[in-house]
Amino acid sequence: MTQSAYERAIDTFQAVLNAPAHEAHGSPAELIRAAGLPASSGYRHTATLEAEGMLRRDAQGCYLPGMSAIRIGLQGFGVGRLAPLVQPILLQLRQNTQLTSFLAMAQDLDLHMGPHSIGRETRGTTLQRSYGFETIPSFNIGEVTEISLRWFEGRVARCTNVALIPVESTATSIAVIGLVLDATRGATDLQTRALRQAYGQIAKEEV
Amino acid sequence: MSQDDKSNVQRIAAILKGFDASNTPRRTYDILEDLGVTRSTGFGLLRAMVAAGWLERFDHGFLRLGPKARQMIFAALEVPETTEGKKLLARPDLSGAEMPENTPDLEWDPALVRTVDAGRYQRPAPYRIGFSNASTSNAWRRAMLQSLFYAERIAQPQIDGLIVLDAQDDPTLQLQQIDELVAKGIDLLLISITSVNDTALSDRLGELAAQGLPIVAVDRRPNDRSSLVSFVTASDHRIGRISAQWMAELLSGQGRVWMLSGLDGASPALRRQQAALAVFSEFPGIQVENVSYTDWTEAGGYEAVDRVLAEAQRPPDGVWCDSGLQGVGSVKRFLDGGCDVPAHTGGDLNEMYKLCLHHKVPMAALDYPASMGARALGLALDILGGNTVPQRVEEPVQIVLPRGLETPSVKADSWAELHVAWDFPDDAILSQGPALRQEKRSVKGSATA
Repeated sequence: MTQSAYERAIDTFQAVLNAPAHEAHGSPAELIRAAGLPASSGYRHTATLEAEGMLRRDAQGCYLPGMSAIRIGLQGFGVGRLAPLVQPILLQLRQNTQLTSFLAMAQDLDLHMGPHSIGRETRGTTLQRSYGFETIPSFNIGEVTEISLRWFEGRVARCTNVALIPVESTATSIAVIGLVLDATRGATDLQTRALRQAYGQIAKEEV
Repeated sequence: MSQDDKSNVQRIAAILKGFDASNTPRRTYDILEDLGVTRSTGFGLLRAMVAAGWLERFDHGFLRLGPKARQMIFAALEVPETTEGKKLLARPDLSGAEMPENTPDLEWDPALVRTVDAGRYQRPAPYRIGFSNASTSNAWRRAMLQSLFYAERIAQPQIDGLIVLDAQDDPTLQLQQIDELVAKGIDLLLISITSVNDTALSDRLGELAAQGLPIVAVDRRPNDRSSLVSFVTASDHRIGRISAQWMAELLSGQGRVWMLSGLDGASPALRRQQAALAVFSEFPGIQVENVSYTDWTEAGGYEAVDRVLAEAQRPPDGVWCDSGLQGVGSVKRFLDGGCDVPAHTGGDLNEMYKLCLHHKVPMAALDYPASMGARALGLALDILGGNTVPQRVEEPVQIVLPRGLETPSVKADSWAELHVAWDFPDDAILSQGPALRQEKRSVKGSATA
């Protein structure tokens, strides 16, 4: 079936934005190749989306999702006010604990992984876009919960241990800040304290 | 035919960015009005976005962000390093989860999470932005400016003009230049202040802010920050604290340390020095034998070490430098003297990394990020777009260590062997961000109006 110009634009938009999620691309050419776009239009679209803040580059020139993209994602869950807080809080959490820190949205039995900063101690744990809870968790805002998240690798069920602290709720979802834990250990006092302090920072903030 | 020359990809981004923080449904009519396209183009695009899941219908004639848009939260904030990982730990038996009990308190800067609603500054792009720069007198300041120009090139469709004026460290000249920029009809003023205590400058900024001009400070701000919407900087405290912690732990809490600070009276130098001294005071076996000022120059570092060596007659166990700008002078003095070079701190300058790696000098570096120029321009665009922004933005300061030189509580974010740029000039500032790579293969400077 022939695609309309609008559908093609949406496919292009999606392909460029999804490309950094899979691996690091250090040049526009690599990103365009990963997105499966022709070079003729790929450079223009990549430059456009970088100018719009949907993509950004780190110090080595590798593409990352831009802050506008993260803001839109959070707005979609109704927690857009957290957007300017995410980067400083997650980077401080990661630096203080050396664990992967993240913000995620819990909805019923699902946890949608959000912005994250990879810590060296849990670098080997690849993050998934979404996880499942074994049972509907009972979250209390500001209280740390250790929990095992389920995900599937093909047909094999896997688990990832995390410590979560709910920071804000909306009508349909709960925003949580979390740390990926070492598979063999629970959360230490330092890690629990770091999560509580992160929550304290968000709770104190007033727009 | 549409009424503008935007591509459909640009229009998709504009539509998605048009929703508020709570994803309040918007009338289709309003979305099309903002987009400025014909009804046929607008409806065609919106229908396709709904079908693909980027938008969802809420009620008759209302749309909001859909499930595809929500998926955009899955985002890495930085590219993780691909290294061999744990086997590179200096003490492999000591992982992060088993840090010693005297692990320093967690650092949280509450200023980083205070935000300001910039809705009242919102206006349609393209924007005219003025930058009143304190000076371009050293390599770091020039790198910061290049980073700003890089961001300008990236965001060119949104920028009508970026006007940059160099105040050459003269507050009077800066005052004139601010008025010159305002007379050119700028939408936002970026400023790196020449003098933090100059009341005439502070007062003028206060007047302009009262007239509704958004002002963002970068690197240096006036003492009175009431005129600013936001301030882009990096943590001097972190630079001082972590580098001193590394040195104290590397020396196992025992040894003689010399301290080489930057410019006497400069607030970054003072904050880094205070933080470092506070850490050293926690280690009774560490003796700080000397504190010198170097003006952040290689010659200043060389002369300071030359003088103290003549007095002490023997090299110290470590030299704490708040930057590699003077650190290179210190390292060169020890090399010229033919003695072993003690452990050093201080990054920023490519030559510092080259010297320390080549001569196997133990080093720890925390670069003061010149990429804050680009960050400031991005923040300016966010403000003019009417978004909620942080009142203080800190560019992350990475810990850079050679392999095998981590200590119990100081772990590398990046390895010096990967961070150094052997093919770049000695005076390159590595924290400039992607602008550094770009600069090598393209013309410098901006399309300044």
